This record gives sequence, C-alpha cells and structure tokens, in this order.
Amino acid sequence: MFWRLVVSEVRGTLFRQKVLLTFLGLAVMDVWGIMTVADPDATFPFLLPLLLPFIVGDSLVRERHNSYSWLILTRGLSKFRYIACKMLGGVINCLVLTVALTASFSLFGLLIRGTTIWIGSGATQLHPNLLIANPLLHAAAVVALVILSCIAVLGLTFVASTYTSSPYVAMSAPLLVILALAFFLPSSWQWLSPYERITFMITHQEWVNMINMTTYWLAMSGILYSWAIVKYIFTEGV
Amino acid sequence: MTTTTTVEVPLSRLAAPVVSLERAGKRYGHKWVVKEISFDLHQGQIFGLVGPNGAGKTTLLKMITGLVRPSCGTIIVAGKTKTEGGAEELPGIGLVIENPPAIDHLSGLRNLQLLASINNRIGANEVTAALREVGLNPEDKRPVRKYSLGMRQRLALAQAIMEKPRLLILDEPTNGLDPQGVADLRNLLVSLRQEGVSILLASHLLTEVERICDEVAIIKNGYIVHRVNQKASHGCQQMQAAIRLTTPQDSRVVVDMAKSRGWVVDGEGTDLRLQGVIAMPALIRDLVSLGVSIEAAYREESDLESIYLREVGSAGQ
Repeated sequence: MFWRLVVSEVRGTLFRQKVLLTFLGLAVMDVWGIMTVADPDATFPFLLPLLLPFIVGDSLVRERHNSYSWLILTRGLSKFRYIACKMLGGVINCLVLTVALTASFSLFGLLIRGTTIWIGSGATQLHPNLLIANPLLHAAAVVALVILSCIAVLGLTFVASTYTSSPYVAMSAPLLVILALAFFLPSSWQWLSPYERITFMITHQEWVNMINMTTYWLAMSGILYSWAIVKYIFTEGV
Repeated sequence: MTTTTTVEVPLSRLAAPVVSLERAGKRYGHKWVVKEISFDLHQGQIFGLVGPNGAGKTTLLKMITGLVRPSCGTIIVAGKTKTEGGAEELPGIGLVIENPPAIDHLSGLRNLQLLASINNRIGANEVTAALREVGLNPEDKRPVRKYSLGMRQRLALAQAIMEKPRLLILDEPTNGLDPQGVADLRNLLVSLRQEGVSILLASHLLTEVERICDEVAIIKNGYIVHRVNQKASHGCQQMQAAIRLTTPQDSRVVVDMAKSRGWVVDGEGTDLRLQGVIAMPALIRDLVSLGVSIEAAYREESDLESIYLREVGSAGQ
C-alpha cells in the first residue's frame, strides 16, 4: 500500500504539466548560458532548490485542501504513513529532477560545445580547489549538494504545508524565507551557515550566497521534517 | 389466558448498530460545533442529516470517520470506539465528500485504480463495474479536469461503492447531478440498502431525503433539533397538531392526556404541539370534555420541508 502510493506520488508529480514546463525552462536557461555542470558558472545548483517548492510544494497541502487525503486516510493509511509517503515521494522527486537536469546539461554540453568530463591528475591530490579543479569531482559534488539542498528546502515546504490550507502559500513561503534570509541576514549571523566552506569548495562565483542559503537549511532539515510530521499528526482533520 | 403482542423488528435491527453516537460533541476553543448528538445507524438503514450550511454536519461526519476527535461522548463505528483523533482503519467505509476531490490529470479509471490499490481488495473488474454502475464509461481516457461537476460526482460515488462497503457516508452526493442523475442515485442507494449497506446521508435536497431515508435528523448550530422517523410517520399516518390554550394552567391536562396516548408533546405555556396518531375532531372533543379551554387547534403539515423550515427557523432563537 505504502510503496504504491509513493510511486503514484512520484509519477503524479513528475508528469504534471507544471513540473515539465519548469524543468524545460531550467534546461533552456542553462543550455543558453552554461553548458555543463562541470562549469563553475552553472546556475542550476541554486535554481533547482529554489524552484522546488513551486514544483512539488503543493503536494501535501493540495490534497488536504480539497479533502482528497480524507479519502486516503479512511482507507486505512495512518497519518504518519501518509506524510512519510509524501516526504519520501518528494525526496525521490529531488533525486530524479537533479539527475535528469545533470544528464540533460551534460548531454547538451557535449553536443553543443563538445565539453567532456575528464578525470584530471588533481584527483589524487588534496587541495582546497580540488572540487573546482577536477570537473568530475566537481560535477559529483554539485549534484550531491543540490540533492541535499532540495531535500532540505522540501523540509521547509512541509513545515509550511502543515500551517496553511492554501497551496499558493505553501509553495511561496519557503522561497520567501530563503530569499529574505539571503538578502537580509545580518553579517553577525553568518556563523549560522555551517556549510559555507563546502560551497566555496565548489564555486567562487557571486551567487554563492544563494546556494549558501539553501544548504543552510541542511543543518536544520532533520528538525524541519520532524516538526512537519509531529505538527501534521497532532493536527485534527485531514 | 395471556395476550402476546408481537412487534415486528427486522433481524438486522437486533444486531449492534453499525454507527452509534452517544452524546457526542466537538468543541473548538469555547465554541461547540457539534453538541450532544446521539443516534444509532443500523445495518440496512438510511439515516439522513439535514441542516443549514455551517450546522456541523461535515464535522460530525469527520468525527464518525475518525479524523476529528470528539471532545465528549462516545462514537462507535463497526464495533470500534473512536475516542482518538487521526485516521485508523475503518473496514468497509465508502465516503463521498462535498465538492468531490480527484487527481485531475488522471482519468476516472486511473483515479479509482489508484485508490483501490491502497487496500488492494478489489481488482480491475470491480473498478470498471463501479464506473458502469454510476453511468460513467471506463473507456473514457479524458483527464478528470475535463469532467463536468455531475461526472465528478458520479466518479466520487463510484469510488465510494467500488469496494462494497458496509457503511456509506455521503456528504451532499446530489451536488451537480441532473434529474436523471438524482433518480439514478436514489435507485442505487435503495438497492444498496436492500443489500444490507448502512447509509449516512447529509443533503440539502429534502424531498430526496424524505423519499429514501428511514430516519432523518435536523441539525442546527451543532444540535439535533428534530428527528423524524420516516417509517413510523408513513406507516402509522402520524400527524402534528398545534393547540393554543386560553390559559396556561390547562397545559398540564393536555400533557397528561398526550403522554397517556403515547404522543410526543412539544412547547410550553399556551402553545403546544402534539405529534402522534391523532384524529383532530376526537382530540378537540376529548379536550373540551376534560374542561380545557381551547383558543385554536389546527393540523400542521408534517412533511420534512415544513418541519425543517419550522425547526431551522425557530431553533437557536
């Protein structure tokens, strides 16, 4: 029962028109500007985590809003398993979207510019710029970080979903929180970004502050997911 | 020689009720949304809930399905006492919700298959049979977002009945249905009742409720303000008489007489209502012979709509 719903969740999200259009938009933007994930200028590492709330953010709240979850819960699925199914589906969506974007970027890069990902001699050396110097490691690091960032931002989305019955609020709240912190976080609070050093190992570009803000939520993703689960289970109704 | 009175009770009524509420209530903050609701729903019975918008019907249905925890009282569904919030398995419940939800980008058939896969109790044949039973074509590949409201309502009915539930909970199932759809629904519910399915029906269509329900409760402001036993009123020619007395002192005599005859008395002071098997001329004659001074006496309409308008208009005042 549980896995069938997870599969349905993943398929239901990924094959929605909105998701496909967003995916296409991201791909076009990156093909136009940047050719491969191995390029330190790549924008998708922060764009995907930021757009994720719009792609899958309304999954839970939409079903609560129109009472579809009532139909599911009366068929014997517990609230815990229901939200766990949503979360797992979301995590799988993060993986699929990131891998699909990475593959499409690499393919386009290969076709358009002839860029290939190679393993350089630097792979065996420990160096602060190792992840930038070695394109393969760099690509892997970016992909891993994007997946983790997506999962973390999704946690924020789930927390928002348990406090509202409006899909639009649930979709926009995480983005607003991230952008507000990215632009207005006082410098004295910079220590709250424990993953800053990691992102600097991947890129030195100006947009690093944006990815910092998505990875920032990594530190709290456990709390966010637990918070969403507890809040949902102890909230009456659907 | 002893006399034996035989009372005909359907066998299904002798079993424990499928749904039993005993003084169940729900409070949000200081506001009681549902209060002191008690009724039993037996196997093969259709119980109607009518009331204005915001009367508490949907909250009551959520309490019965276990999604809302009762603040007081007891709710027993299929032998399980529901005192905890959250969903728990309620075997054999079919549910139709107002403004029926569905996954819009999937076809009707795919929607039902997905819901059926949760319990995996039925196969593809049962799913298509349910669609056909409500008048939808299983071959229709259009996504549900292209369905009319009536078609969505039929789809909701199909998902409710496809797993052959023992209990059907229907919240405004006639929304958006055309007259043919309403008639089809009526026939479907009657045939399900004959199969032993218990049905809890919340609706604003009083004529339909009156036609198919065995018992009806009128809810206002969270309370049951009136109950109508349709079977009793149809079978025994029940009626309601309104009496206005000249002096309130006579009301005691009227109440005693009504109770001795098994009638239900409502009201106080000079204005009284009697409900039961009543013949108006005999009633007036008997009251006069008992020395009661009557200012006015008349028969009141006892159809559901008249009762509803009277109760909903006066309750809460």
